[in-house]
This record gives sequence, C-alpha cells and structure tokens, in this order.
Amino acid sequence: MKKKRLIIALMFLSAGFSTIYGQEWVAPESEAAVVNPLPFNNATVREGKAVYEKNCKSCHGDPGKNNPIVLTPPPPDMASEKMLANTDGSIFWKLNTGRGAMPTFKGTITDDQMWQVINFIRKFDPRNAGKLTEEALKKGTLAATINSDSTSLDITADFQGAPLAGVPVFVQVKKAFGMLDIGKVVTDANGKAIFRIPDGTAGNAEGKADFVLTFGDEFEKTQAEVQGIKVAKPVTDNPLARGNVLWSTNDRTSGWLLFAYFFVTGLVWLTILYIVIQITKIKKAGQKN
Amino acid sequence: MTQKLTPDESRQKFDKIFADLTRSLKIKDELARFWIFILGMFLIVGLWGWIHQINKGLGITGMRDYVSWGMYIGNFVFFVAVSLIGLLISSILHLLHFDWGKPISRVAETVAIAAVALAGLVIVMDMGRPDRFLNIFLHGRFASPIVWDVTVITTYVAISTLLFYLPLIPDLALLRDRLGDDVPKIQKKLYSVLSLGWKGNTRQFEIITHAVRIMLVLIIPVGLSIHTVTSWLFANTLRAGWDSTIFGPYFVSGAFVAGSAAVILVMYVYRQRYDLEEYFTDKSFDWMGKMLVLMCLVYLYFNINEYLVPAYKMRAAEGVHLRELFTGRWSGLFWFAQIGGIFLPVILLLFRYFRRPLPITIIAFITLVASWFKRFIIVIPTLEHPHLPIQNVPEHFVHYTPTRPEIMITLLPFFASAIIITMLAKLFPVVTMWEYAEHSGVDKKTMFEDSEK
Ligand code: HEC
Repeated sequence: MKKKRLIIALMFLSAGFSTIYGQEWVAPESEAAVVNPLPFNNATVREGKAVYEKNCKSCHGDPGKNNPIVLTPPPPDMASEKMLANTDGSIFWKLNTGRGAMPTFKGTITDDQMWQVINFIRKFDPRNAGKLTEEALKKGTLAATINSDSTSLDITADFQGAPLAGVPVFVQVKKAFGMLDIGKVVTDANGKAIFRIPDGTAGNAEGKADFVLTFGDEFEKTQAEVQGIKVAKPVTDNPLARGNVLWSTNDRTSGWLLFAYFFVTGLVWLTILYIVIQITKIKKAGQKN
Repeated sequence: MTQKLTPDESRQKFDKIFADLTRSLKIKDELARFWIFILGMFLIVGLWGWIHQINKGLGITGMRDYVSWGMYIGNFVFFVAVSLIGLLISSILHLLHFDWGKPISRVAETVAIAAVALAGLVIVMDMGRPDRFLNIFLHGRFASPIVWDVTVITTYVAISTLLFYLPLIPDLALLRDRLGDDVPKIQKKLYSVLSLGWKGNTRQFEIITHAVRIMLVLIIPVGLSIHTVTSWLFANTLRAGWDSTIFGPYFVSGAFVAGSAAVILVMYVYRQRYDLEEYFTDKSFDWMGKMLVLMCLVYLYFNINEYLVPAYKMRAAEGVHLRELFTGRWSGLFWFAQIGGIFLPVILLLFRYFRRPLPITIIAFITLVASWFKRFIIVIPTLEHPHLPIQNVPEHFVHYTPTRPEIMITLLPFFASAIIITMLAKLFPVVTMWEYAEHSGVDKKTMFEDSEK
C-alpha cells in the first residue's frame, strides 16, 4: 500500500518536473476555457500590435520570421503552431503567470491590453484568414504652424480641403539618435488641434528643435515637419558632445589622454625594440672570436 | 659568491648542477604521460564547451543583462594578477639584491608567462563573437580602458617572454653542447637555434647583463600598469563597489598575494618531482612564506581601506552592496575569500613550522583558491545591483548562477596553464643554471669550456 503511494507520488513529481523542464507548458483547463471578452476586429488587433511591439517583440521577434532571442527554452514565434495551439484563455493565463525567462505581465499591462495582444496573435491563425476586413487606408494632409510665442503648434488636418475631425495626430521631436514621442492630440470638428510644446523640451545649441507630426496607422503615411522651432531651452552643454567623456570616440578624446597613451606605449616599445637589437648583437659577438 | 673553487672542484660541482637541473628534461615516465593525458582530456572538454558557446552564443552562460561580466572576467582578473609575480620576484627582489630570489626567478617568469598568455585567451573566451577580436586594434577607442588593457597585456607578454629568454640563452648553449642523446634531435636543434651561437665570451655576457638590467627596470612600470589598468576597467565606472580611487594598488597588492601562492605551489612540485631539494631549499620556502605574510599584510591594509571607508558612510548603493557582502547572499564566499586569502596565511605563516615546504604549499593552495573567489566577489555582486534596475525581468536575470558549460570554459585556462608550465619545464631547466653555478663559485670560463671550441 505504502509502496503504491510512493510510486504515485513519484509519478506526480516527475510529471511536475517534466512540465517545468520539458517543452510543454500547459494552462489549467479551467483557465484555458476562459473566453476573450474583446471582439476580434481591426481596432483591437491594431491596439494589440502596439502592445506587442512594446512588450513582447524584444524576445519573441517578428511574427512569422522565427527570429526570437537566444533563450532556453526559446520564445516561440507568434505565428507558430505551438503558439496558436493555445486557446485565448491559456495565453491569458500564461501572460499572468510567466515561466522561466518568460516574465509575468500581471501588473505591467492591463487585462484589456492582454486580450488585445491575444487578438493580435490570433491574426496569424490560418483559421482566421479573411475574418478581418481589409480596410482601405485613409488619406489626409497635415500642416502645422508655430504660434507667436513658440509655446504650441497649431495643427490642421484635412483631406482635399475637407477638415478631418476626431483624428489622432502624433507629435515627435527629432533627437540625436532618432525620434522621441512627445504627445498626441485629437483634432476638433474643424480639423484643428493645438499641441502645447511641453516645458523642458530640449533644442539644439541655438535652442531650436524639429517637430514631426504623423497620423496613426489607419492612414496612408503622411507627415508634416515643422523645422527650427525656437523652444525655450537651448542645450549648450550636451554631455555626448563634450570632449573628455569616458569611452568617447577617438576624435573626441582629449589631447592629453592621446598623448599619454602614445607617448608611454611608444617609449616602452622602443625599449623593447632596443633589446631585440641587443639580442641580435649576441650572435655577432659570438662570431667574432 | 661563497668560496673560490679549484678548476677541478669547479668542474665537478658544475657537472652535478647540470645533471640535477636537466633532470626535468629527461624524465619520461608513466606519471609524466598520465599527467599530460589528464590535462589534455580536461582541455578537450573545455574546448568542446567553448565551441558550443561559439555556436550558440553567450546565451549558454549564466550571464544576462544584469550580470554581463561573470566568471570569465573574474578569471581574467585572476590570471592577470598571478602573472604579476614575474615582476615582483624576478625584478624587485633582484634589484634589491635579495639573493634568495634568484633561483626562483625562472619559476616566477614561467608562472608569469603562462598566466598572462591565458589572461589574453580568457578575454577572447568572454567574447560572443571572437572573430571580431581584431576590431579592437582596427577601431579601438583610445579613451577606453579596454584598449589600454589590451595594449598593456600585449606589452607584458613581450617583456615577460624576453625576460624569460635573455637569461636562458647561456643555458641553451649549455644544453646544446653538453646534453647527450637523451633528448630528441629536433629539441637539440631548437637549443642550437635559440642559443644564438653563444660562446660565453665577455662581450656576450656584457650584452646579456645590459639587456637584462634594462628589462628588469622596464617591467616595473609595465607590470604595475598591467594590473592598474585592469583595475581601471572597474574603477573608471560609477558602480558601487568599483568606484574607488585605491583600486590600482588594491589590485596590485592582491596580485602579489595570488602570485606568490602560485609560485610556492610550482616550486614545491618541481622540488618533489625533479629532486631539487638543494635548489628550492627549505630556506627558499621560508623566505617565500615571510614574503607572503608581508604581501598579505599590505593587502589587508588596502582591504581595510576599501571596505571600512564606504562602510562608515554607507551611502545608499554602497550600503546595499556591502550588506550583501558582509551578511547577505554573498557573505559565505566573501568571508571564505577574506579569511582564506588573507587572515589564514598571515596568522599561520608567522610560525616557522608552517613555513616548511609541505605546510606552506597547502596554505598557498588555499590562498590561491581564495584569491580566485576574491576576484569573483569583486566582479559579480556589484553587477547584481544596478543604479537603474530593469523592470519585470525574470529572477535569473537578476541573480547570476554560472552554467555548466561556463564552468568548463572557466576551468580550461587552468589546465592550459598547467600544460604550458609543464612544457616549459620539459624544455628548459627550471633554475637558471649558469647563474646558480656562478653563485656557488663556479667560474664562467669553466662552464663554457665546451662552447668556446
Ligand atoms: C524576456 C523575454 C520575453 C518577453 C518580453 C516575452 N516573452 Fe513570451 N516567452 C518567452 C520565453 C523564453 C518563452 C518560453 C517559456 C517556456 O516555455 O518556458 C515564452 C513563452 C510564451 C508563451 C507560451 C508559448 C507556449 O509554449 O505555449 C506565450 C503565449 C508568450 N510567451 C507570449 C508573450 C507575450 C504576449 C508577450 C508580450 C506581452 C511576451 N510573451 C513577452 C520570453 C519572453
């Protein structure tokens, strides 16, 4: 009797180990049966894509390209059979629990965002082919001017003269290594919006900055640039441009450092060269007598 | 010089010295083969691990975003540290006229060469893409301590090799002329090429003495900078536990401890294996013991500075770091490293009993192991506490646990250095013969009688 119990216990134990160390990661049935409360449509998939790119792509890679980062076990591709074999409920549960290198997202993203990203994953399921209507991309033009005291951008969005109302417009500022998102405004009934430039937005040495405005994903790529806006705060002391920064590039390394390096290294290697010459002299000295 | 010997006595004495010191070259028994076999096996296992790592990437190690310098860098610092002994024994003791250091200086140089060569290898093993190694020469930034480190290590390899080679030249001539058919032809050919037509005339001795003297001086700044620059890899950052102004001397003094311990080990092995009790005498061990105590005391002094000053201030990040070391997750290793690497040798080696060859070798072994863990303790705990922690990372990103392949790869340089040391002992006498003979009163003329013809 006791033996039997022991065997059963061992079986449970090994089953436990194999779920942790083996490839399989299975959600409890009750959790797997939970149904996605969000409808599967363009809007939720689009939101889900944004969640995915921000939170998951760094590990799982581009869906369908099978390019995850190196981890054991590897993060499965979103378009893989393994991933799609999960029910919505089981993905939701896995996002909430996490395992090994796969972090838990409980508290990091909202439940809604989880269901959105699940809809995004579902987009790659062949069974869902055709379920999303191909929406034609909207068209529009953006324009912006800076107001008189350089504190806000006056934005106009229209399509062939007709104002575009209720459209989100994203504002970015150009930085040394790319674009920085600084905000989003929605146009009013006249297709107009005012974007207040946040205090402390940094400009270049002359205090000027370049802004870029774009529509969201549902539009054809359109953007407006407003260049050389004088913002309040000039940056004269950019630490990256300073000369003596640690680990800086060669043309920004201070002279004394370069001098010290080459002087010392040169001196030592010249001495070594001198010694090597001495060594050749030993041979000569041997031949003399 | 002890006493003047008659030419006959001289010749007899020198014959004995030659026979003793070439024993290591001739010995070819089961034990030697077994030793090489064992080392070779481990080497292969390590290489296999390394190939695995090159194929799969550094993801197979325990290093993650937090702890991106793991055992490999600890290992690197350890090997650089051990290599510094060449500077201490062959140069400083020599220039200060501590004659007891002379028979040991080749041992010290051997250890130095093996250690510094492998320090270079360890760095390459820490690279995910070793094929990009040359980029450091092609595109290196001169403001980067890493470039300085590569420069100074390369220079130290060159100097150590020269300092090994220069006093060896007369010995090579002796081997060329006096060694019978005990060694393969090709080996004799090697001696003949490397001895550069050495005849033993005054001019040649002048050149050697001159060159050696310059090298003995040059190795001091270079040796000090090799470990100082290595310490700057850490000290030139703003991390708690590294951001310290005494890191240079702290590392250098620690290096002398580790290096002395390594030399004691090698001395003992040579003494037992090649019957060299007369060369590595009880007296040499006694001196090494005293020196180790002195070095440990200096190191203790730097340790007190390194820990007491921040522990008094307990600034936020430093406080977290120090608590982890003293009483936290790392306290076991920390106290093992401190007690085994400093207190144990200081206390025990004060007694003459423990400075006898066997006890001191055991103590040196413990000290050496503790020194390795000390490097580990310097590198890893700091990395576990970044100033700006990453959010929502898995537990094993935060805490570092080395993986099995990583341990195999970390052990590889130990076996490789043992092979290098063995090979050097099989090729060259482990004590400078002519210097030792001269010191025991044998005339230089007598030594090179055969060469002058
Ligand atoms: C830090 C890297 C990382 C991030 C970020 C990450 N994952 Fe994962 N994910 C993994 C790893 C590794 C696994 C494999 C875990 C295992 O099998 O133990 C995994 C597994 C999964 C699984 C289970 C697949 C199966 O075996 O059934 C799902 C579902 C998943 N991830 C979804 C996501 C989603 C959605 C996000 C973004 C909200 C995300 N992951 C973010 C690393 C990551």
